[in-house]
Amino acid sequence: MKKLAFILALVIAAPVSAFAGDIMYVMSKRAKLLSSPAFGSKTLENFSKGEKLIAIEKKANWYKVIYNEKTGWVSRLSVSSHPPLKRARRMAKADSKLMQNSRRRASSVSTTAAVRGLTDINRSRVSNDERLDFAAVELMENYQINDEDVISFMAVIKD
Amino acid sequence: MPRNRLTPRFVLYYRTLLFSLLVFFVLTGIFFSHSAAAADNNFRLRAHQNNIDANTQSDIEAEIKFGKTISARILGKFSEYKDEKLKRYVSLVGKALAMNSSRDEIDFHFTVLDADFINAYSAPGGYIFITRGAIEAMQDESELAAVLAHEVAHITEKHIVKEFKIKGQDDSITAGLSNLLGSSSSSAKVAFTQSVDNAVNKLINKGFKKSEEIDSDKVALLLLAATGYDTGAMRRYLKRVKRISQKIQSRIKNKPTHPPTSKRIKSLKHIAKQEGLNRLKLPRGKTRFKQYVKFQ
Repeated sequence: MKKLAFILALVIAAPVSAFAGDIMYVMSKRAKLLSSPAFGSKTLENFSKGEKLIAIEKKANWYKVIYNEKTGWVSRLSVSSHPPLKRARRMAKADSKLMQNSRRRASSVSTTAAVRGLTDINRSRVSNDERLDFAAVELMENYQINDEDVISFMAVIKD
Repeated sequence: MPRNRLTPRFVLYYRTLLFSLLVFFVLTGIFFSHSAAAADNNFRLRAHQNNIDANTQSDIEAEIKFGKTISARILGKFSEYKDEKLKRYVSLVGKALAMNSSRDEIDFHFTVLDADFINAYSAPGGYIFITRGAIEAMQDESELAAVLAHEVAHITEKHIVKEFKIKGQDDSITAGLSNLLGSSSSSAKVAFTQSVDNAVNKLINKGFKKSEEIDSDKVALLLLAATGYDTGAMRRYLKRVKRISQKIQSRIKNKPTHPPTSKRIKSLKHIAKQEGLNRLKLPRGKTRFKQYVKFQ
């Protein structure tokens, strides 16, 4: 009886030890657990950013993962082996001014350096071609759209 | 089992069977452990590759500062095309792609440039530009998504970040541009300016490396599928742009910033087949595109 129990334990332990998982994290805002490694297959679960998954296999651009006792596939676009970072803070206006000024100072330094032959900057490039419009970039950054609007927008796409 | 059945012969057979089973399962376990370990090692190596690309918050901030300066140069060169409805539409499509991308830690921003040539640019930190000319050549929303997805991919794959080694100030091993930005020395500022110059030159004149473009095409296809757009869009658009370029040379920049179109189309076809994307029936958004995109 003892012998049988020992053999049974060996039989179970050998293949089980063959598979070990890696922890992966969901990086995207939207990601899905799919039934097979193909877009269009059945959605088993929807993930939120930061969720932990146990990856047990990789096939092309897909990871086979275990999540909440479910096994499925997730696109490699959506996951990473390192945890996601917080949303980066936008650069303050003061920082923009600093960069604009550093550019002006750098231009005069680079002209001087070029005259001395210390750099190989083409002097003709220190010109109007190097105009910086940080105000326009700030307008670009300030233009915000809610996630809910984006989700509603995609929900009604047709043809 | 009755004792009279436990003959020596039976016991020998029983023990031999048990031993054979033991050897079989142990060998099977070793085999699968080894191949799984090999696959596991390979898998761990690939997963570890992600760690090489791992960022800190400081790295992200350095990337945004660099990308913002590049963007200021682009917007110093080209003005924005003023059309609020089109701006919102392009931003909605772009944000939908960004939601399915791997970099939620940065905010993606989208702007239409008032230029009639066909092109699009992406700066680190999430700044994406597409010309009016590029949109005029499109026929549906999935083609707009395809071009934006390609630019999003340059950012998610960190092509410029890697080339210019943009790292945060807390990285003492790698000399990063953020260290230069933080430095008060004139030479550091010159070096930063030169890097911005080189990055802008890469975007507007030289273009990305062929491998980076093919990489972005591949990621863009997956991103299109994940977001829910027809994945044939990029090939359709590239074929049309090729036809246009043959007719109206002035609409194409003199120095092409992308690899030959025929090579890209071939590569896209291969990737779509490999990923099984041709089986998908995803929308193109033709009607909505026509509602939003109306040029004078």
